[in-house]
Amino acid sequence: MKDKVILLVEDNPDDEALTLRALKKSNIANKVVVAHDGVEALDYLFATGAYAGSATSDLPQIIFLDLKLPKVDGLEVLRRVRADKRTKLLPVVILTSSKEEQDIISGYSLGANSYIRKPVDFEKFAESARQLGLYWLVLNESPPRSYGSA
Amino acid sequence: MRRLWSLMPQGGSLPEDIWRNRHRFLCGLTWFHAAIITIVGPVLGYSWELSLDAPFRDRTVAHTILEGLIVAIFAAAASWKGRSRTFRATAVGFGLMSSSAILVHLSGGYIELHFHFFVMLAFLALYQDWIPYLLSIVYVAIHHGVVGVLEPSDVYNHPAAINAPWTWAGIHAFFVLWASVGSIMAWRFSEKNLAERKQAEEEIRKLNAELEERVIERTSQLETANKELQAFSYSVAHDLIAPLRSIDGFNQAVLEDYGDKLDTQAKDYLMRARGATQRMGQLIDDLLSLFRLTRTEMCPEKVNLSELAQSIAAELRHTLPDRVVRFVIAEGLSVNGDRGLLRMALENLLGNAWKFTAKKPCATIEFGAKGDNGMRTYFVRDDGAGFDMAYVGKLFAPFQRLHGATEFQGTGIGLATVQRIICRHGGRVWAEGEVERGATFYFTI
Repeated sequence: MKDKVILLVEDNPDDEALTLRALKKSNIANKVVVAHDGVEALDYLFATGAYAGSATSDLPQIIFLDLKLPKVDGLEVLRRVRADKRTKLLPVVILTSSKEEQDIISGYSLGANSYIRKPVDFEKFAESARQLGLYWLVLNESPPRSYGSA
Repeated sequence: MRRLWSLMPQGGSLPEDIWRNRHRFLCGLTWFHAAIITIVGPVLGYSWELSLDAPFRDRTVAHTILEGLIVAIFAAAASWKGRSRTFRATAVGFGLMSSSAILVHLSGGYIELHFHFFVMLAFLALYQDWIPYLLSIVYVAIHHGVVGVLEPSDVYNHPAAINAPWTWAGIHAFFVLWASVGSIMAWRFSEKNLAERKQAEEEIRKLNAELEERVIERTSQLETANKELQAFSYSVAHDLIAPLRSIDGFNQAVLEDYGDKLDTQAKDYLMRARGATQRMGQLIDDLLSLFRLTRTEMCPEKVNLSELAQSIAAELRHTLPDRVVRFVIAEGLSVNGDRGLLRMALENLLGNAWKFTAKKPCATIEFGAKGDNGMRTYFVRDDGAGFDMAYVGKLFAPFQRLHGATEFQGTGIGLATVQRIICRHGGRVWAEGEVERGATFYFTI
Protein backbone atom coordinates (compact mmCIF):
# COMPACT_ATOMS: atom_id res chain seq x y z
CA MET A 1 0.00 0.00 0.00
CA LYS A 2 3.01 2.25 0.58
CA ASP A 3 3.62 2.95 -3.07
CA LYS A 4 0.17 4.35 -3.52
CA VAL A 5 0.40 8.13 -3.44
CA ILE A 6 -2.50 10.38 -2.51
CA LEU A 7 -2.62 13.81 -4.12
CA LEU A 8 -4.35 16.25 -1.82
CA VAL A 9 -5.23 19.53 -3.53
CA GLU A 10 -6.00 21.95 -0.72
CA ASP A 11 -5.17 25.64 -0.30
CA ASN A 12 -6.30 26.06 3.28
CA PRO A 13 -3.41 25.06 5.63
CA ASP A 14 -5.88 24.28 8.44
CA ASP A 15 -7.84 21.92 6.27
CA GLU A 16 -4.61 20.43 5.04
CA ALA A 17 -3.42 19.77 8.59
CA LEU A 18 -6.80 18.38 9.61
CA THR A 19 -7.03 16.12 6.58
CA LEU A 20 -3.52 14.79 7.12
CA ARG A 21 -4.28 14.23 10.77
CA ALA A 22 -7.54 12.47 9.93
CA LEU A 23 -5.74 10.20 7.46
CA LYS A 24 -3.04 9.43 9.99
CA LYS A 25 -5.64 8.72 12.69
CA SER A 26 -7.27 6.28 10.29
CA ASN A 27 -3.96 4.46 9.89
CA ILE A 28 -3.60 5.42 6.28
CA ALA A 29 0.13 5.52 5.92
CA ASN A 30 0.35 6.35 2.23
CA LYS A 31 2.51 9.18 1.04
CA VAL A 32 0.41 12.31 0.67
CA VAL A 33 1.51 14.95 -1.81
CA VAL A 34 -0.10 18.31 -1.15
CA ALA A 35 -0.72 20.81 -3.93
CA HIS A 36 -1.77 24.22 -2.68
CA ASP A 37 -3.48 25.46 -5.80
CA GLY A 38 -4.75 24.24 -9.13
CA VAL A 39 -1.56 25.06 -11.02
CA GLU A 40 0.59 23.11 -8.61
CA ALA A 41 -1.76 20.13 -8.88
CA LEU A 42 -1.60 20.18 -12.68
CA ASP A 43 2.19 20.62 -12.59
CA TYR A 44 2.49 17.56 -10.37
CA LEU A 45 0.20 15.47 -12.54
CA PHE A 46 1.72 16.42 -15.88
CA ALA A 47 5.33 16.89 -14.71
CA THR A 48 5.49 20.52 -15.70
CA GLY A 49 6.60 23.71 -13.91
CA ALA A 50 8.10 22.93 -10.48
CA TYR A 51 7.70 19.20 -11.14
CA ALA A 52 9.33 19.27 -14.59
CA GLY A 53 11.59 16.28 -15.02
CA SER A 54 9.74 13.88 -12.78
CA ALA A 55 8.17 10.89 -14.42
CA THR A 56 4.60 11.37 -15.49
CA SER A 57 3.95 7.70 -14.97
CA ASP A 58 4.18 8.41 -11.22
CA LEU A 59 0.53 9.09 -11.06
CA PRO A 60 -1.23 9.19 -7.69
CA GLN A 61 -3.63 6.48 -6.71
CA ILE A 62 -6.29 9.02 -5.93
CA ILE A 63 -6.82 12.78 -5.96
CA PHE A 64 -8.63 14.52 -3.13
CA LEU A 65 -9.67 17.77 -4.75
CA ASP A 66 -10.95 20.94 -3.11
CA LEU A 67 -13.11 23.14 -5.33
CA LYS A 68 -12.27 26.67 -4.26
CA LEU A 69 -8.62 27.08 -5.12
CA PRO A 70 -6.39 30.00 -6.07
CA LYS A 71 -5.27 30.45 -9.70
CA VAL A 72 -6.97 27.42 -11.28
CA ASP A 73 -10.05 26.21 -9.44
CA GLY A 74 -10.93 22.63 -8.65
CA LEU A 75 -13.47 22.16 -11.42
CA GLU A 76 -10.93 23.35 -13.98
CA VAL A 77 -8.33 20.94 -12.60
CA LEU A 78 -10.87 18.16 -12.92
CA ARG A 79 -11.70 19.18 -16.48
CA ARG A 80 -8.01 19.13 -17.46
CA VAL A 81 -7.46 15.79 -15.72
CA ARG A 82 -10.35 14.24 -17.61
CA ALA A 83 -9.27 15.82 -20.91
CA ASP A 84 -5.81 14.26 -20.86
CA LYS A 85 -5.60 10.62 -21.85
CA ARG A 86 -2.85 9.94 -19.30
CA THR A 87 -5.06 10.94 -16.39
CA LYS A 88 -8.58 10.56 -17.61
CA LEU A 89 -9.24 7.38 -15.64
CA LEU A 90 -7.65 8.63 -12.43
CA PRO A 91 -10.05 8.45 -9.47
CA VAL A 92 -10.92 11.98 -8.33
CA VAL A 93 -12.81 12.62 -5.11
CA ILE A 94 -14.09 16.12 -4.59
CA LEU A 95 -13.56 17.05 -0.97
CA THR A 96 -15.04 20.46 -0.28
CA SER A 97 -16.98 22.63 2.16
CA SER A 98 -19.97 23.27 -0.05
CA LYS A 99 -22.93 21.10 -0.75
CA GLU A 100 -24.37 23.67 -3.17
CA GLU A 101 -26.28 21.91 -5.87
CA GLN A 102 -24.39 23.69 -8.65
CA ASP A 103 -21.05 22.43 -7.28
CA ILE A 104 -22.26 18.87 -6.98
CA ILE A 105 -23.78 18.86 -10.47
CA SER A 106 -20.71 20.45 -12.09
CA GLY A 107 -18.45 18.05 -10.20
CA TYR A 108 -20.24 14.95 -11.40
CA SER A 109 -20.75 16.36 -14.91
CA LEU A 110 -17.01 16.80 -15.26
CA GLY A 111 -16.46 13.21 -14.23
CA ALA A 112 -15.75 13.24 -10.50
CA ASN A 113 -15.85 9.73 -9.00
CA SER A 114 -17.20 10.92 -5.70
CA TYR A 115 -18.33 14.08 -3.95
CA ILE A 116 -17.65 14.36 -0.24
CA ARG A 117 -18.63 17.32 1.82
CA LYS A 118 -16.16 18.20 4.55
CA PRO A 119 -18.40 18.45 7.61
CA VAL A 120 -17.82 21.00 10.37
CA ASP A 121 -17.75 18.23 12.95
CA PHE A 122 -14.19 16.92 13.01
CA GLU A 123 -15.17 13.46 14.13
CA LYS A 124 -17.43 13.09 11.14
CA PHE A 125 -14.64 14.47 8.96
CA ALA A 126 -12.18 11.94 10.35
CA GLU A 127 -14.70 9.19 9.77
CA SER A 128 -15.15 10.33 6.14
CA ALA A 129 -11.38 10.32 5.64
CA ARG A 130 -11.11 6.85 7.11
CA GLN A 131 -13.81 5.48 4.87
CA LEU A 132 -12.38 7.26 1.83
CA GLY A 133 -8.95 5.76 2.47
CA LEU A 134 -10.41 2.34 3.05
CA TYR A 135 -12.54 2.46 -0.05
CA TRP A 136 -10.21 4.07 -2.59
CA LEU A 137 -6.90 2.67 -1.41
CA VAL A 138 -7.92 -0.81 -0.31
CA LEU A 139 -11.27 -1.94 -1.70
CA ASN A 140 -11.44 -0.19 -5.02
CA GLU A 141 -9.72 -1.77 -8.02
CA SER A 142 -7.88 1.03 -9.82
CA PRO A 143 -7.68 1.36 -13.58
CA PRO A 144 -4.55 -0.34 -14.97
CA ARG A 145 -1.42 1.77 -14.65
CA SER A 146 -0.25 1.03 -18.15
CA TYR A 147 -3.34 2.59 -19.61
CA GLY A 148 -2.70 5.78 -21.51
CA SER A 149 1.03 5.92 -20.87
CA ALA A 150 1.58 3.73 -23.89
CA MET B 1 -63.36 82.86 -39.76
CA ARG B 2 -60.68 80.87 -38.04
CA ARG B 3 -63.31 79.61 -35.58
CA LEU B 4 -65.55 78.58 -38.45
CA TRP B 5 -62.60 76.83 -40.04
CA SER B 6 -61.87 74.96 -36.81
CA LEU B 7 -65.45 73.66 -36.87
CA MET B 8 -64.80 72.04 -40.24
CA PRO B 9 -63.92 68.36 -40.27
CA GLN B 10 -60.41 67.53 -41.36
CA GLY B 11 -61.38 64.93 -43.95
CA GLY B 12 -59.65 61.82 -45.27
CA SER B 13 -58.92 60.50 -41.80
CA LEU B 14 -61.01 57.33 -41.78
CA PRO B 15 -59.08 54.27 -40.66
CA GLU B 16 -58.36 51.94 -43.56
CA ASP B 17 -60.69 49.14 -42.45
CA ILE B 18 -63.71 51.45 -42.00
CA TRP B 19 -63.03 53.19 -45.32
CA ARG B 20 -62.79 49.86 -47.13
CA ASN B 21 -66.14 48.67 -45.69
CA ARG B 22 -67.91 51.86 -46.72
CA HIS B 23 -66.30 51.90 -50.15
CA ARG B 24 -67.39 48.32 -50.78
CA PHE B 25 -70.98 49.35 -50.11
CA LEU B 26 -70.82 52.56 -52.22
CA CYS B 27 -69.08 50.77 -55.08
CA GLY B 28 -71.83 48.18 -55.06
CA LEU B 29 -74.40 50.98 -55.09
CA THR B 30 -72.78 52.44 -58.23
CA TRP B 31 -72.76 49.06 -60.00
CA PHE B 32 -76.42 48.65 -58.98
CA HIS B 33 -77.29 51.99 -60.64
CA ALA B 34 -75.42 51.02 -63.81
CA ALA B 35 -77.54 47.86 -64.00
CA ILE B 36 -80.87 49.61 -63.21
CA ILE B 37 -80.28 52.35 -65.82
CA THR B 38 -79.33 49.78 -68.45
CA ILE B 39 -82.56 47.82 -68.01
CA VAL B 40 -84.83 50.89 -67.93
CA GLY B 41 -85.09 50.79 -71.77
CA PRO B 42 -86.13 47.13 -72.17
CA VAL B 43 -88.40 47.25 -69.09
CA LEU B 44 -90.27 50.36 -70.23
CA GLY B 45 -90.51 48.95 -73.78
CA TYR B 46 -88.29 51.49 -75.53
CA SER B 47 -87.48 51.06 -79.22
CA TRP B 48 -84.82 48.44 -80.09
CA GLU B 49 -83.84 50.54 -83.11
CA LEU B 50 -80.22 50.10 -84.10
CA SER B 51 -78.71 53.05 -85.94
CA LEU B 52 -75.71 55.30 -85.50
CA ASP B 53 -77.68 58.05 -83.84
CA ALA B 54 -80.03 55.78 -81.86
CA PRO B 55 -77.86 55.84 -78.69
CA PHE B 56 -78.12 59.63 -78.65
CA ARG B 57 -81.89 59.79 -78.95
CA ASP B 58 -84.35 59.43 -76.09
CA ARG B 59 -86.64 56.41 -75.69
CA THR B 60 -84.36 53.88 -77.35
CA VAL B 61 -82.87 50.83 -75.64
CA ALA B 62 -79.50 51.78 -77.12
CA HIS B 63 -79.72 55.11 -75.30
CA THR B 64 -80.29 53.58 -71.82
CA ILE B 65 -77.56 51.03 -72.50
CA LEU B 66 -75.12 53.85 -73.33
CA GLU B 67 -76.11 55.71 -70.16
CA GLY B 68 -75.76 52.56 -68.05
CA LEU B 69 -72.32 52.09 -69.63
CA ILE B 70 -71.23 55.59 -68.50
CA VAL B 71 -72.15 54.76 -64.89
CA ALA B 72 -70.47 51.35 -65.26
CA ILE B 73 -67.22 53.06 -66.35
CA PHE B 74 -67.25 55.12 -63.13
CA ALA B 75 -68.05 51.98 -61.10
CA ALA B 76 -65.12 50.18 -62.77
CA ALA B 77 -62.79 53.11 -62.00
CA ALA B 78 -63.98 53.00 -58.38
CA SER B 79 -63.19 49.27 -58.22
CA TRP B 80 -59.64 49.84 -59.52
CA LYS B 81 -57.55 48.61 -56.57
CA GLY B 82 -54.29 50.29 -57.59
CA ARG B 83 -55.60 53.85 -57.27
CA SER B 84 -55.73 56.17 -54.28
CA ARG B 85 -58.67 56.45 -51.93
CA THR B 86 -59.47 59.93 -53.29
CA PHE B 87 -59.51 58.72 -56.89
CA ARG B 88 -61.77 55.77 -56.15
CA ALA B 89 -64.16 57.79 -53.97
CA THR B 90 -64.36 60.53 -56.63
CA ALA B 91 -65.21 57.86 -59.24
CA VAL B 92 -68.05 56.67 -57.00
CA GLY B 93 -69.18 60.31 -56.58
CA PHE B 94 -69.26 60.91 -60.35
CA GLY B 95 -70.96 57.54 -60.92
CA LEU B 96 -73.73 58.29 -58.42
CA MET B 97 -74.20 61.91 -59.53
CA SER B 98 -74.36 60.74 -63.17
CA SER B 99 -76.98 58.19 -62.11
CA SER B 100 -79.05 60.96 -60.51
CA ALA B 101 -78.75 63.17 -63.59
CA ILE B 102 -79.66 60.28 -65.93
CA LEU B 103 -82.68 59.29 -63.81
CA VAL B 104 -83.89 62.93 -63.75
CA HIS B 105 -83.40 63.12 -67.47
CA LEU B 106 -85.10 59.74 -68.17
CA SER B 107 -88.10 60.81 -66.10
CA GLY B 108 -88.41 63.97 -68.11
CA GLY B 109 -87.27 66.23 -65.27
CA TYR B 110 -89.60 65.02 -62.50
CA ILE B 111 -88.91 66.93 -59.28
CA GLU B 112 -89.19 63.68 -57.24
CA LEU B 113 -86.20 62.25 -59.13
CA HIS B 114 -84.13 65.25 -57.95
CA PHE B 115 -84.40 63.71 -54.46
CA HIS B 116 -81.95 61.18 -55.79
CA PHE B 117 -79.17 63.82 -55.77
CA PHE B 118 -79.71 64.50 -52.07
CA VAL B 119 -79.78 60.85 -51.14
CA MET B 120 -76.59 60.14 -53.10
CA LEU B 121 -74.80 63.16 -51.60
CA ALA B 122 -75.75 61.90 -48.14
CA PHE B 123 -74.23 58.54 -49.03
CA LEU B 124 -71.06 60.20 -50.38
CA ALA B 125 -70.58 61.94 -47.05
CA LEU B 126 -69.80 58.47 -45.70
CA TYR B 127 -66.29 58.80 -47.18
CA GLN B 128 -65.70 61.78 -44.88
CA ASP B 129 -63.36 63.17 -47.50
CA TRP B 130 -63.40 66.66 -48.98
CA ILE B 131 -62.24 66.14 -52.57
CA PRO B 132 -64.77 63.49 -53.70
CA TYR B 133 -67.53 65.34 -51.87
CA LEU B 134 -66.78 68.80 -53.27
CA LEU B 135 -66.17 67.48 -56.79
CA SER B 136 -69.58 65.78 -56.66
CA ILE B 137 -71.23 69.04 -55.63
CA VAL B 138 -69.40 70.82 -58.46
CA TYR B 139 -70.71 68.05 -60.74
CA VAL B 140 -74.30 68.82 -59.63
CA ALA B 141 -73.76 72.57 -60.07
CA ILE B 142 -72.35 72.14 -63.59
CA HIS B 143 -75.12 69.72 -64.49
CA HIS B 144 -77.83 72.14 -63.31
CA GLY B 145 -76.04 75.20 -64.73
CA VAL B 146 -75.07 73.80 -68.14
CA VAL B 147 -77.69 71.15 -68.98
CA GLY B 148 -80.43 73.06 -67.11
CA VAL B 149 -79.77 76.18 -69.15
CA LEU B 150 -79.13 74.49 -72.51
CA GLU B 151 -81.82 71.79 -72.25
CA PRO B 152 -84.08 72.89 -69.37
CA SER B 153 -86.73 70.25 -70.11
CA ASP B 154 -84.12 67.56 -69.43
CA VAL B 155 -83.74 68.88 -65.88
CA TYR B 156 -87.09 70.43 -64.93
CA ASN B 157 -90.64 69.47 -65.73
CA HIS B 158 -92.51 72.64 -64.90
CA PRO B 159 -92.79 75.88 -66.87
CA ALA B 160 -91.57 78.18 -64.08
CA ALA B 161 -88.22 76.47 -64.00
CA ILE B 162 -87.95 75.94 -67.71
CA ASN B 163 -88.45 79.67 -68.20
CA ALA B 164 -85.94 80.70 -65.52
CA PRO B 165 -83.39 77.89 -65.28
CA TRP B 166 -80.74 80.03 -63.50
CA THR B 167 -83.11 80.90 -60.68
CA TRP B 168 -84.12 77.27 -60.22
CA ALA B 169 -80.54 76.13 -60.42
CA GLY B 170 -79.92 78.56 -57.54
CA ILE B 171 -82.84 77.17 -55.54
CA HIS B 172 -81.58 73.64 -56.05
CA ALA B 173 -78.07 74.72 -55.16
CA PHE B 174 -79.34 76.26 -51.92
CA PHE B 175 -80.94 72.98 -50.83
CA VAL B 176 -77.94 70.94 -51.91
CA LEU B 177 -75.72 73.19 -49.81
CA TRP B 178 -77.94 72.86 -46.74
CA ALA B 179 -78.10 69.10 -47.14
CA SER B 180 -74.28 69.19 -47.29
CA VAL B 181 -74.07 71.21 -44.09
CA GLY B 182 -76.04 68.48 -42.29
CA SER B 183 -73.85 65.74 -43.70
CA ILE B 184 -70.65 67.60 -42.90
CA MET B 185 -71.78 68.15 -39.31
CA ALA B 186 -72.49 64.44 -38.92
CA TRP B 187 -69.14 63.72 -40.49
CA ARG B 188 -67.35 66.04 -38.07
CA PHE B 189 -68.88 64.31 -35.02
CA SER B 190 -67.88 60.94 -36.36
CA GLU B 191 -64.35 62.26 -36.91
CA LYS B 192 -64.22 63.54 -33.34
CA ASN B 193 -65.33 60.19 -32.00
CA LEU B 194 -62.73 58.42 -34.09
CA ALA B 195 -60.04 60.81 -32.94
CA GLU B 196 -60.99 60.28 -29.30
CA ARG B 197 -60.98 56.54 -29.78
CA LYS B 198 -57.59 56.74 -31.44
CA GLN B 199 -56.25 58.88 -28.62
CA ALA B 200 -57.60 56.47 -26.02
CA GLU B 201 -56.02 53.57 -27.87
CA GLU B 202 -52.75 55.48 -28.09
CA GLU B 203 -52.89 56.14 -24.36
CA ILE B 204 -53.53 52.47 -23.60
CA ARG B 205 -50.65 51.54 -25.87
CA LYS B 206 -48.39 54.00 -24.11
CA LEU B 207 -49.44 52.80 -20.67
CA ASN B 208 -48.86 49.22 -21.73
CA ALA B 209 -45.44 50.11 -23.06
CA GLU B 210 -44.58 51.87 -19.79
CA LEU B 211 -45.82 48.92 -17.81
CA GLU B 212 -43.79 46.55 -19.94
CA GLU B 213 -40.73 48.68 -19.42
CA ARG B 214 -41.27 48.72 -15.69
CA VAL B 215 -41.70 44.96 -15.63
CA ILE B 216 -38.44 44.53 -17.55
CA GLU B 217 -36.70 46.91 -15.18
CA ARG B 218 -38.04 45.16 -12.08
CA THR B 219 -37.19 41.77 -13.51
CA SER B 220 -33.63 42.78 -14.12
CA GLN B 221 -33.39 44.24 -10.60
CA LEU B 222 -34.77 40.99 -9.26
CA GLU B 223 -32.30 39.01 -11.34
CA THR B 224 -29.45 41.11 -10.01
CA ALA B 225 -30.64 40.61 -6.45
CA ASN B 226 -30.97 36.88 -7.07
CA LYS B 227 -27.49 36.71 -8.54
CA GLU B 228 -26.09 38.56 -5.54
CA LEU B 229 -27.91 36.21 -3.24
CA GLN B 230 -26.53 33.27 -5.16
CA ALA B 231 -22.99 34.63 -5.02
CA PHE B 232 -23.46 35.33 -1.34
CA SER B 233 -24.71 31.86 -0.51
CA TYR B 234 -21.98 30.30 -2.64
CA SER B 235 -19.38 32.23 -0.71
CA VAL B 236 -21.03 31.35 2.59
CA ALA B 237 -21.12 27.69 1.64
CA HIS B 238 -17.39 27.64 0.94
CA ASP B 239 -15.74 30.30 3.01
CA LEU B 240 -17.78 30.44 6.19
CA ILE B 241 -17.75 26.71 6.77
CA ALA B 242 -13.97 26.26 6.48
CA PRO B 243 -12.90 28.29 9.56
CA LEU B 244 -15.58 26.59 11.63
CA ARG B 245 -14.15 23.25 10.68
CA SER B 246 -10.69 24.44 11.72
CA ILE B 247 -11.94 25.57 15.13
CA ASP B 248 -13.75 22.32 15.69
CA GLY B 249 -10.95 20.21 14.31
CA PHE B 250 -8.14 21.77 16.35
CA ASN B 251 -10.23 21.74 19.50
CA GLN B 252 -10.75 18.06 18.93
CA ALA B 253 -7.03 17.63 18.21
CA VAL B 254 -6.18 19.26 21.54
CA LEU B 255 -8.73 17.08 23.31
CA GLU B 256 -7.36 13.95 21.72
CA ASP B 257 -3.61 14.64 21.83
CA TYR B 258 -3.34 16.57 25.10
CA GLY B 259 -6.45 15.32 26.88
CA ASP B 260 -4.37 13.77 29.65
CA LYS B 261 -2.82 17.15 30.51
CA LEU B 262 -6.17 18.94 30.81
CA ASP B 263 -8.46 19.01 33.79
CA THR B 264 -12.19 18.46 33.53
CA GLN B 265 -13.01 22.15 33.31
CA ALA B 266 -10.58 22.77 30.44
CA LYS B 267 -12.08 19.84 28.59
CA ASP B 268 -15.56 21.18 29.24
CA TYR B 269 -14.57 24.56 27.79
CA LEU B 270 -13.21 22.93 24.67
CA MET B 271 -16.33 20.81 24.34
CA ARG B 272 -18.45 23.96 24.58
CA ALA B 273 -16.41 25.61 21.85
CA ARG B 274 -16.94 22.56 19.67
CA GLY B 275 -20.66 22.56 20.41
CA ALA B 276 -20.87 26.21 19.40
CA THR B 277 -19.03 25.72 16.10
CA GLN B 278 -21.21 22.78 15.23
CA ARG B 279 -24.33 24.78 16.03
CA MET B 280 -23.08 27.57 13.83
CA GLY B 281 -22.39 25.06 11.07
CA GLN B 282 -25.97 23.85 11.42
CA LEU B 283 -27.25 27.44 11.27
CA ILE B 284 -25.31 28.13 8.09
CA ASP B 285 -26.61 24.93 6.53
CA ASP B 286 -30.18 25.83 7.42
CA LEU B 287 -29.76 29.34 6.10
CA LEU B 288 -28.39 28.01 2.83
CA SER B 289 -31.21 25.55 2.42
CA LEU B 290 -33.69 28.38 3.04
CA PHE B 291 -32.04 30.38 0.25
CA ARG B 292 -32.06 27.34 -1.97
CA LEU B 293 -35.82 26.99 -1.50
CA THR B 294 -36.47 30.20 -3.39
CA ARG B 295 -34.15 29.25 -6.20
CA THR B 296 -35.03 25.67 -7.04
CA GLU B 297 -37.49 25.08 -9.84
CA MET B 298 -40.87 23.65 -8.88
CA CYS B 299 -42.31 20.63 -10.69
CA PRO B 300 -46.00 20.49 -9.84
CA GLU B 301 -47.77 17.13 -9.72
CA LYS B 302 -50.61 15.52 -7.78
CA VAL B 303 -49.29 14.89 -4.28
CA ASN B 304 -51.06 12.77 -1.68
CA LEU B 305 -50.43 14.68 1.56
CA SER B 306 -51.99 11.93 3.68
CA GLU B 307 -49.47 9.36 2.45
CA LEU B 308 -46.62 11.84 2.94
CA ALA B 309 -47.78 12.50 6.50
CA GLN B 310 -48.02 8.75 7.19
CA SER B 311 -44.49 8.11 6.00
CA ILE B 312 -43.08 11.08 7.95
CA ALA B 313 -44.90 9.88 11.07
CA ALA B 314 -43.35 6.44 10.61
CA GLU B 315 -39.89 7.99 10.31
CA LEU B 316 -40.42 10.06 13.44
CA ARG B 317 -41.54 6.99 15.39
CA HIS B 318 -38.42 5.22 14.19
CA THR B 319 -36.18 7.90 15.71
CA LEU B 320 -37.61 7.38 19.21
CA PRO B 321 -39.57 4.12 19.29
CA ASP B 322 -40.21 4.39 23.04
CA ARG B 323 -42.29 7.56 22.86
CA VAL B 324 -46.05 7.21 23.12
CA VAL B 325 -47.52 9.38 20.40
CA ARG B 326 -50.87 8.89 18.71
CA PHE B 327 -50.92 10.10 15.07
CA VAL B 328 -54.37 10.94 13.67
CA ILE B 329 -53.96 11.41 9.92
CA ALA B 330 -56.95 12.09 7.64
CA GLU B 331 -57.18 9.91 4.52
CA GLY B 332 -57.06 10.94 0.88
CA LEU B 333 -55.89 14.56 1.07
CA SER B 334 -54.29 15.42 -2.27
CA VAL B 335 -53.04 18.68 -3.70
CA ASN B 336 -51.19 19.86 -6.79
CA GLY B 337 -47.66 20.87 -5.92
CA ASP B 338 -43.99 20.05 -5.78
CA ARG B 339 -43.58 16.72 -3.98
CA GLY B 340 -40.12 17.45 -2.56
CA LEU B 341 -41.04 20.88 -1.23
CA LEU B 342 -44.36 19.75 0.22
CA ARG B 343 -42.63 16.87 1.93
CA MET B 344 -40.15 19.31 3.43
CA ALA B 345 -43.01 21.50 4.69
CA LEU B 346 -44.83 18.56 6.28
CA GLU B 347 -41.58 17.24 7.74
CA ASN B 348 -41.06 20.56 9.44
CA LEU B 349 -44.63 20.85 10.73
CA LEU B 350 -44.90 17.25 11.94
CA GLY B 351 -41.30 17.38 13.19
CA ASN B 352 -42.17 20.44 15.26
CA ALA B 353 -45.26 18.75 16.63
CA TRP B 354 -43.11 15.74 17.51
CA LYS B 355 -40.48 17.94 19.14
CA PHE B 356 -42.84 20.10 21.16
CA THR B 357 -44.80 17.15 22.55
CA ALA B 358 -41.61 15.46 23.77
CA LYS B 359 -42.35 16.28 27.40
CA LYS B 360 -45.82 14.74 27.37
CA PRO B 361 -46.07 11.15 28.47
CA CYS B 362 -48.81 10.54 25.92
CA ALA B 363 -49.18 12.96 22.99
CA THR B 364 -51.56 13.29 20.05
CA ILE B 365 -50.52 14.73 16.68
CA GLU B 366 -53.17 15.33 14.09
CA PHE B 367 -53.07 16.08 10.36
CA GLY B 368 -56.36 16.93 8.60
CA ALA B 369 -58.32 19.41 6.54
CA LYS B 370 -61.34 21.65 6.91
CA GLY B 371 -63.64 23.08 4.27
CA ASP B 372 -64.39 21.80 0.79
CA ASN B 373 -62.10 21.42 -2.21
CA GLY B 374 -62.46 25.07 -3.27
CA MET B 375 -61.14 26.60 -0.06
CA ARG B 376 -59.63 23.72 1.83
CA THR B 377 -57.54 24.49 4.88
CA TYR B 378 -55.05 21.88 6.03
CA PHE B 379 -53.82 21.73 9.58
CA VAL B 380 -51.23 20.05 11.80
CA ARG B 381 -52.28 20.04 15.45
CA ASP B 382 -50.49 18.87 18.57
CA ASP B 383 -51.19 18.94 22.29
CA GLY B 384 -47.65 19.86 23.27
CA ALA B 385 -45.88 22.89 24.69
CA GLY B 386 -47.81 25.36 22.50
CA PHE B 387 -46.92 29.05 22.42
CA ASP B 388 -48.13 32.42 23.58
CA MET B 389 -50.29 34.05 20.88
CA ALA B 390 -48.60 37.37 21.77
CA TYR B 391 -45.55 36.15 19.84
CA VAL B 392 -47.39 34.69 16.88
CA GLY B 393 -45.90 37.38 14.61
CA LYS B 394 -42.37 36.13 15.26
CA LEU B 395 -43.22 32.52 14.58
CA PHE B 396 -42.44 32.42 10.86
CA ALA B 397 -39.43 34.75 10.79
CA PRO B 398 -36.11 32.99 10.23
CA PHE B 399 -34.01 32.33 13.36
CA GLN B 400 -36.78 33.43 15.71
CA ARG B 401 -37.35 31.01 18.53
CA LEU B 402 -40.03 31.03 21.18
CA HIS B 403 -38.35 28.39 23.32
CA GLY B 404 -34.92 28.28 24.88
CA ALA B 405 -32.26 26.10 23.26
CA THR B 406 -31.99 23.99 26.41
CA GLU B 407 -35.74 23.42 26.46
CA PHE B 408 -36.17 22.43 22.81
CA GLN B 409 -33.41 22.19 20.22
CA GLY B 410 -33.55 23.91 16.88
CA THR B 411 -32.21 26.75 14.80
CA GLY B 412 -35.52 28.51 14.16
CA ILE B 413 -35.53 27.92 10.43
CA GLY B 414 -38.25 25.28 10.15
CA LEU B 415 -41.33 27.49 10.08
CA ALA B 416 -39.63 30.05 7.83
CA THR B 417 -39.03 27.15 5.45
CA VAL B 418 -42.67 26.08 5.70
CA GLN B 419 -43.85 29.60 5.00
CA ARG B 420 -41.62 29.91 1.97
CA ILE B 421 -42.80 26.61 0.54
CA ILE B 422 -46.50 27.38 1.08
CA CYS B 423 -45.97 30.87 -0.35
CA ARG B 424 -44.35 29.41 -3.47
CA HIS B 425 -47.46 27.28 -3.89
CA GLY B 426 -49.61 30.42 -3.75
CA GLY B 427 -50.99 29.54 -0.32
CA ARG B 428 -51.01 30.99 3.17
CA VAL B 429 -49.88 29.66 6.51
CA TRP B 430 -50.86 30.77 10.01
CA ALA B 431 -50.87 29.41 13.53
CA GLU B 432 -52.91 29.26 16.69
CA GLY B 433 -51.63 28.16 20.04
CA GLU B 434 -51.82 28.32 23.79
CA VAL B 435 -49.02 27.77 26.29
CA GLU B 436 -48.96 24.14 27.46
CA ARG B 437 -52.14 23.34 25.51
CA GLY B 438 -50.73 22.74 22.07
CA ALA B 439 -50.43 24.47 18.73
CA THR B 440 -52.23 24.24 15.40
CA PHE B 441 -50.64 25.24 12.10
CA TYR B 442 -53.01 25.93 9.23
CA PHE B 443 -52.16 26.26 5.57
CA THR B 444 -53.90 26.58 2.22
CA ILE B 445 -52.55 25.60 -1.19
